[in-house]
Amino acid sequence: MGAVSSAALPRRGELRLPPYLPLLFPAVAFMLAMYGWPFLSSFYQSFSVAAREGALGLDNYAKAWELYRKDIAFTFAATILNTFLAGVVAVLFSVYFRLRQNRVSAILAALFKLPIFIPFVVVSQMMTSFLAPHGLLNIALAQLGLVDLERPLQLFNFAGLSFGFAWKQVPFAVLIIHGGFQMIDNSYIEAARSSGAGMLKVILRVLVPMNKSSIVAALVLVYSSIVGTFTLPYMIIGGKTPTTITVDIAHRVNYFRDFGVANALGVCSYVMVIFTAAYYLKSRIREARQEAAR
Amino acid sequence: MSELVLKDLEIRYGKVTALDRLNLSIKDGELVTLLGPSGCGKTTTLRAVSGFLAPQGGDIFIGGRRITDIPPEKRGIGLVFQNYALWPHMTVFKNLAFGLEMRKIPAEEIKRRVAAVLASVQLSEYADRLPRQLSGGQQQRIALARAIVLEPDILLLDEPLSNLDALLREQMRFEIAAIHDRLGITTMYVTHDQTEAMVISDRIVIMRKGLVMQDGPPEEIYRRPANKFVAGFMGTTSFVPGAVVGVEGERCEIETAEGLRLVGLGSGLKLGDRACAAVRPEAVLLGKRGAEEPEGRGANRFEAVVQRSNFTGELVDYQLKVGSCFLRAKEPETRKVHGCGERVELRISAERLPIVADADAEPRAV
Ligand SMILES: Nc1ncnc2c1ncn2[C@@H]1O[C@H](COP(=O)(O)OP(=O)(O)O)[C@@H](O)[C@H]1O
Ligand SMILES: [Mg+2]
Repeated sequence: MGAVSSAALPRRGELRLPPYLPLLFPAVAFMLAMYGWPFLSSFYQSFSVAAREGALGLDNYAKAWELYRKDIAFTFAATILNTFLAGVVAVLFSVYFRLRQNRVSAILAALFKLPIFIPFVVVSQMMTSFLAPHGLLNIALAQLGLVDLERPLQLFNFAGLSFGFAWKQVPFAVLIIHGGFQMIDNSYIEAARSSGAGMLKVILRVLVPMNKSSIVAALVLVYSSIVGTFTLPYMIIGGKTPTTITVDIAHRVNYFRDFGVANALGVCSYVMVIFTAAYYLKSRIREARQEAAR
Repeated sequence: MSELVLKDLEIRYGKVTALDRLNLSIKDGELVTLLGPSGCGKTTTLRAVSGFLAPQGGDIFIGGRRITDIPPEKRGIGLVFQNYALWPHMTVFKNLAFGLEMRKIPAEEIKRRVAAVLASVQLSEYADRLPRQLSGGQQQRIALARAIVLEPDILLLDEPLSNLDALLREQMRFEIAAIHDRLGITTMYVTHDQTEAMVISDRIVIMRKGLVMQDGPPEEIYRRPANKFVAGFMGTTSFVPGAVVGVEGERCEIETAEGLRLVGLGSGLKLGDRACAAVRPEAVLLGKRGAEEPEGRGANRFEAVVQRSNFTGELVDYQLKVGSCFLRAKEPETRKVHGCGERVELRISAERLPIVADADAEPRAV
């Protein structure tokens, strides 16, 4: 770090490093060690073929594609759909909490955050009993005469998975989105209403566009967390096909100790996340720039 | 006809009474200012009229039609906010077009009307800008344009100029007054700045703690304040307390504990009442001691000692001591500045000296 001491007396043509660089070192080193290294190592392993003494090749990917292409597609579709679903529901709840500011909605909003603190395993356990053929949901629907218990709703599939994701992820999305709505002063809403906009128009034309950045942030975070969940799909869908990549990875590792294919599948989920993460970071940086320019 | 009438309006926030049976009417085309200190209920009144706050009692009428239960989007009211509240994701054009789109007005006509209003606030070139690309003053004008493009029956402005710097604020006062004169929209204007109220209003309503203290044209409010609160609110007033020793029609004389006698205008006072003379710095004239008296009889003349004098450019601001009272004087004559400790004679014309009861302003529901 010799360049740092000379930063005080910069000579022409010399690269000027910021003086706070040494302060960043521990953080950067920590991130590289804890996050960068495992990522690179799994990336490397996904190309290393066990059958050929660790030589590099695309065999793992070929095998993953052959065995799991349906699951990859399923994971991708389920993630997109569930993110969208959770996003819509979260926006509706957040709008409700923003517009109905009374004690009841405040209590509801607070209670609604509780699922965030419940671990995924517990959520999954709850969902398996709640969604079971003779679980609480079917019994309740039967009581209402909506379902015949002889032929209960089969929910250990995509529908049940979506329900579980929504149950767990919507509160988290609400936390972020509602926070964004809270930042919008009433005057923006009142200006729209006195201009003749009904509630729906206010929501679609004013509130949602003004809160776009937190909605996008919530969607990105929910999306990445859904891509990576294991327990919920494992307990609700398990080994049936199609299932999610995460379940396949566990299967590969637990039964075959096949780290190559597992890592190839892992890289698939990185790819799914990386685009959204990049978009998120880019919009964050743009926002920060605009903020600084103001 | 779009006369605005508030009848016995009552609004409470929990246990806090924000408006206490408020009665107020604004004639068609009139610009009325609600003036009062922070927390007196001005914004509350505006929000009740615009429909965002349901009153616990009383009624609101526009043009004779009862609108108390009509939702805000159907009231035909234009709003201008202190923070402008321009939608940040819409261009200036979109901001102005929004309300017209809500009314399902054809696109061609929207274009025409937005262009006309933008021209009237001299911001035609800015149609494609986003609000954050405009200066504070420009945003203010766009906010006003957004309200008037809808040709509302009633225009409500809540401290629209208080985020602007002093120079711009002064200029915008005249602009708002000019726009009002041109369009003749019935307008309720809220401010806590008395000069702003004086410049802009046909009529001023002075409020305090949810009650109307006085309601009248600017000059009347200034010359004949109904009570000590109003007198104190209009400008930098010094109060000289005393007892009423003479009443003759509007003219009223008080005597201070030290035996100074002041003659001014007052109403509703009887002999022996405790009262105050409300001395405005701009009503005080200074002269050399023993100089000829130009105003004739009736003028209040006292000897005073200069405590401080500040040259501000357009005038000299004096702090004077008369007996044990401190008064301020603002003299436009700036060639000769009286120095500290100098003895001067001051005169206050009785016509420019309101006398008010010394009780803490008794709340009066008009
Ligand atoms: N949302 C609210 N909840 C409780 N009290 C309020 C609320 N809004 C205003 N008040 C109270 O009502 C009174 C009038 O407020 P406001 O109309 O905002 O005054 P102004 O606009 O004249 O400054 C104040 O005492 C204020 O504290
Ligand atoms: Mg206010």
